[in-house]
Amino acid sequence: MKKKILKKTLALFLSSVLALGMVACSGSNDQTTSATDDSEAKSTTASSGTQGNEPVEVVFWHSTSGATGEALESVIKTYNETRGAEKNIKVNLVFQGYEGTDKVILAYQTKDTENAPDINQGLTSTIPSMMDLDWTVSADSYLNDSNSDINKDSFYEAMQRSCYYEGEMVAVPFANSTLLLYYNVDALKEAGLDGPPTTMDELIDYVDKLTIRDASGQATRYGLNVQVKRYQLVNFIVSQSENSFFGDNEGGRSAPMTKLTIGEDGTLRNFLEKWDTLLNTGGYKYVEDSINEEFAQGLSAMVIMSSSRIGTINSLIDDSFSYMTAPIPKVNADDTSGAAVGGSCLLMFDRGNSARVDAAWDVLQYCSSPEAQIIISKASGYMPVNVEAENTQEMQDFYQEFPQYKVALDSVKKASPLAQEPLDVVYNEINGIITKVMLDFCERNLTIDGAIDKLVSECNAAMDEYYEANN
Amino acid sequence: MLPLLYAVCISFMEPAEILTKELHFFPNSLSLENYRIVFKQTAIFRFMLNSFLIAFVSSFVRIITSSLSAFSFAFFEYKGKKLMFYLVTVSLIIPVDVLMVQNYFTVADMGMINTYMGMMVVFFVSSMNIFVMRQNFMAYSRTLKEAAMIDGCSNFLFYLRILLPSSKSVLATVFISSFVGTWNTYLWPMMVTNKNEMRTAQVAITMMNVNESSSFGYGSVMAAAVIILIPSILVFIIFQKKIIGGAMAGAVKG
Repeated sequence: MKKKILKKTLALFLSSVLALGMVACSGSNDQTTSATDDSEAKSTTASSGTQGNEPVEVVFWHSTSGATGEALESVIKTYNETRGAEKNIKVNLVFQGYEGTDKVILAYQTKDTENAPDINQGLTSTIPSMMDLDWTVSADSYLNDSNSDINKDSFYEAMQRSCYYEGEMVAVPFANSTLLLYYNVDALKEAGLDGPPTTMDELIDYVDKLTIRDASGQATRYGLNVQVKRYQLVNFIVSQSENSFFGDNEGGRSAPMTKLTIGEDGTLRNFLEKWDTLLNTGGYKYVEDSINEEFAQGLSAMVIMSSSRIGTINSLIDDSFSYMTAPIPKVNADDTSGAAVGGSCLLMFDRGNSARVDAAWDVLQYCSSPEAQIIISKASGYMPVNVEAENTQEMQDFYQEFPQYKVALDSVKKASPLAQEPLDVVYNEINGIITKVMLDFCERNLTIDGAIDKLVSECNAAMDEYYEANN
Repeated sequence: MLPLLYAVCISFMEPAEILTKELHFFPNSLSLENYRIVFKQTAIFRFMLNSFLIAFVSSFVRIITSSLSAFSFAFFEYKGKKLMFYLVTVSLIIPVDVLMVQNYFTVADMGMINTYMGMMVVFFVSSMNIFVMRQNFMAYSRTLKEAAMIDGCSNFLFYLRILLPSSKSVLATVFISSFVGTWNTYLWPMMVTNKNEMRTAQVAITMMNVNESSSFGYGSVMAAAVIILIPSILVFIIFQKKIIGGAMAGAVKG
């Protein structure tokens, strides 16, 4: 009997300790957090005083891999060994893939400064969601500082604008690319075609002539391969004129974008009409499987993809044929704007330590320098963002050897700076909607009118839902 | 087996061989270039160590939590037992993805982001394993426990010295399924880690192919997948040998 009472008491005692522990933990977490804040604040004062001893660590999240990743690692390694060593700054480079921006948001939502970065490389379309976070530091004041190595004019105008948000240049361009047409020069010559197509009508004609079919009529070599998702559609829209923004408020640059304008201004219709004719050729592959490898294997004569893939294509083509790049064909013959500059930018965050923010700015200046940009540009297909880079002998020799890279830069310089990707807050969702609608359109499950209605209404609904949830 | 064999073959192919118009199963030559890229570009052994640690410790803890819970459900009578068991079985129908967000906030509040504990803690208890073990323990005769009690054996000693040793088959099954499941898990470790040295093997594979503008090619992705597959196959082979028939026969007469 006594043993039973003892057992029950022990069980009750252990349960209460467990329950108390769970309650106490949340309380002690706050204390720990405030203790951490205090120690952080102390360390802020301490670190600026003891900078000479411990290097200031800058955590740099990036999303480059392969040859580009290696180039970035070598740039940062050089920084750590030279300028970083002089200024007592050490960069910790961490590869995050495309989840980097999402992870910054996750860390912010849980106020986890410990596991957040000082610099994040993210797509320029993520700028609105990043600027919503209190942590994010706008680069505008740093760029206006006369003591900085770089200012706004260090970058090409189109790239400056790609980093503008609500009147300020909040980020620094980093790995920029543009949409290009890649074409198999030998295949074009064989088909009796002189030079790349410059308009959609020419593209349709080229596709017809370049497609090779077997006895059953199945294409064994496609004239063109590209899957139209947000990135591609945006370019075909904004290239039509300086007034064709993807959405209202200049595509989200002057104020938050609330709806698409492509249904109202006729730009989407123009594109879909041409695309419809293209589909009729039977020589256009509208899904992307292994677009790089298939082009390199000669399974498609032309592809439309980012200039950042030039490095990859160079490594895949084993001198079996020569290829070249060209600006994307104009939707209408009288289009004026040119393709948008896309890619990623670098944003800084304040984790409660001003020394780290200053150190992060120093790293950003280095990454934007002509020397660093040349290294990254030569390894990838990204354009050097610094205007001085292209004038160096090194880059001039490089462009002589690999003219494909120069086409991207020339295309951006010729294009209107107003041709930009939109700053749509729900870019992932919009990408999903566009991909699905275009796939249905290419599979002939939607007419032109049906595609326009569905695409515009679903994208607008996604944005409405976002604003309803966040306002 | 065929997809697995094809993956192994691709891992030995040159990039030009992989994408050809003709069906191409066996590599023309055994090229180790893809494996070289994997070892050079990623800290694959560190990622595998992380995965192994998480899978092994989670599976071990899961055996303890599942067997103890099942022991209480199978051998004891107390108020609320049926209700608690129903709650355990009902939790089986809740999709894991629904819990992800809240679990993340909980783990982040506990300061366990980028820690092994943070990655493992959600795998420590599994209602499916509790259910499986409880069903297994229900098959045991009550007289076995009574006989042990008469001989002066406490509840815990009965669990440790009699029940567990005679349940090796179900323990091995739980361990194998937990290990393989945790080894292959991708989403949770990806969410709670953002440092290179803490990543698991599955996360590392996706990072090899994340960016089409500079990916390493399918050959190296397959090479990484083959390397990562080896430990789970080994665990399966080792623990399969340890499965023996139940040792209950002859434990109690009549």
